[in-house]
Amino acid sequence: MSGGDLTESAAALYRLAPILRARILRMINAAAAGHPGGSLSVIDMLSALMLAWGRNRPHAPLNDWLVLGKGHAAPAYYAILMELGYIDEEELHTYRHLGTRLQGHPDRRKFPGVQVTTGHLGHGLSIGAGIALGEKILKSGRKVYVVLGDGDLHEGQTWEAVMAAAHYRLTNLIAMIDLNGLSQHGAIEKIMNFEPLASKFESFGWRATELDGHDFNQLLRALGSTQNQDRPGVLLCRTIKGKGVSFMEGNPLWHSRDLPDDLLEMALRELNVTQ
Amino acid sequence: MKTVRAPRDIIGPTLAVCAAGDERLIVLDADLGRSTRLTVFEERFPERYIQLGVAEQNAVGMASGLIYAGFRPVFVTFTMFAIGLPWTQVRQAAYAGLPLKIIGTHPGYDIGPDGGTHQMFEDLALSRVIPEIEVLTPCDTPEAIGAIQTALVSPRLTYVRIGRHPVPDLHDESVNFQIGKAEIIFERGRDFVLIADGSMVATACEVAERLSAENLKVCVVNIRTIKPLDEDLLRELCRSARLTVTVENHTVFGGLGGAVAEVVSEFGGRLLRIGSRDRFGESAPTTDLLRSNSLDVDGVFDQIVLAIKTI
Repeated sequence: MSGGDLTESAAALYRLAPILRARILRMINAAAAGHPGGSLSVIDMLSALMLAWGRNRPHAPLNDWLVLGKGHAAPAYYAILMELGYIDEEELHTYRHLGTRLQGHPDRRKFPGVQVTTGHLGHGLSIGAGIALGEKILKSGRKVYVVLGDGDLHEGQTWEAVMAAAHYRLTNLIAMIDLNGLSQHGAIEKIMNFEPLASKFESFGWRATELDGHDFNQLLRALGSTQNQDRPGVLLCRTIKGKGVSFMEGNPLWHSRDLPDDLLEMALRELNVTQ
Repeated sequence: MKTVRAPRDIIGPTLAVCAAGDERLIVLDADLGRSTRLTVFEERFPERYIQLGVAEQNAVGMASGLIYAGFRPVFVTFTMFAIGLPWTQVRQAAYAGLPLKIIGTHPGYDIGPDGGTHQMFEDLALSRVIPEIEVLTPCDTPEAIGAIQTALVSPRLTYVRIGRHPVPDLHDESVNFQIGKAEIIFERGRDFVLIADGSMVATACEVAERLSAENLKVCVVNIRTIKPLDEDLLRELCRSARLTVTVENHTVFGGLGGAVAEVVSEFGGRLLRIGSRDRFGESAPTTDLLRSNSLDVDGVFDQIVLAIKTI
């Protein structure tokens, strides 16, 4: 991907970003429940990965794996799956309702658009490492992207997987961590500090890259840098919880809650999305 | 004289035979392969023997991932670390519909001298409550081979509990181990129905011989699978029985005894559950523990005779 292409792709992603955010908010409004903060912090990472980089590239359709470790950000996943044509607007509003394919956490048995069923924090990187080990044995060339949140790093299992991925030299494994710095009860540094992360991952045998998780040029460049890595790679994406909606940004109260009609309208106006 | 041997000894050799005909079969170990008898497999298929160290939660997660990539993983470790430690990971694999295979060894008193910390009396209860899962309890070495072979071709998540304590072969190699099908392994009447799993089937058969010698009409059911439970056979036998007895190397809560109680309670049948009571284990050789906890032939016999007197 040349520099010019990169800027062009990034520009398209910037144009789409408010539309994806609006979809997330409408889903949560219709469900009267969900996780707006973490969905808005991860959406730019996911759109860079899924729309510009990964699965829908014309020459490699569905070729790579996505494990959404932070499964509670399902609205962000569904917003992009709609962009890819798996869901229509009407179905989007069935999220979390009885009989829906769009479960509160991604469920591949209910909805084949989901590649990997996820939900419990801490499980995602192990599952991704298992897929990566399998693809490595098969010499398939398929890559595995695991999208994690701060909470995943509090689970000991994640660090078991970090160890195993380095031990088996899973060069086809890329972890993208949505570091919005807030978990449900407050700031990570107060809940349970895990910094410095880059040196932790490096000392375990990974290659770590720090970047702004809302900067599409940085995201695309960082993804590009993982393609021929000699060890598992982690993209430490610094993000803002609730990004794009001023009254949600940096406020842990928006980790998990309802979004009533009046606040939805206010948020959509801010995003400048009316349709 | 029947051959007496430890069913765990066939785990590695059986998996090796199966792997020869299935290139997607892969075995995961969490640093207990010597105790779980995986070394034969490791030597024969080193590239399909994945060592993950003492990290069972990650092992179950990676096994799940390997299924997504098209492999058929088997995770082998002690019952405590197969079901107890990574319960949530196993449950999530079942939720995702992944046909993970888990073999748990050293159940209950089988791990005797290691003591109460490692004696797992809760794995049948913990596993069978998970939706869609299968729980297999082969009673001897030929059945252990059959259970592994059957589990490998099942489309569901399967937990196979295999003993370490030597038991007599009650079957020969031609045994047909079917999931959900119990076996009447001893039958001299049906007034007293003894239902046992794993190593307790041999014990129950010896007890039945003695009860029979006292002119009691008794049969023994080798339950084979705790889940799905052969409820049809249990209803047929227990409905008309004077007393149903369960015998297990597991807590009497929630395992075989619990599962049978759920069926027998439909028609109010009389039930005696024999197994570990509401207490942890302690260090001692397995035979001493079975004796001191009334799970040897004498102990089981005495408990049943006492119960019969109160009918």
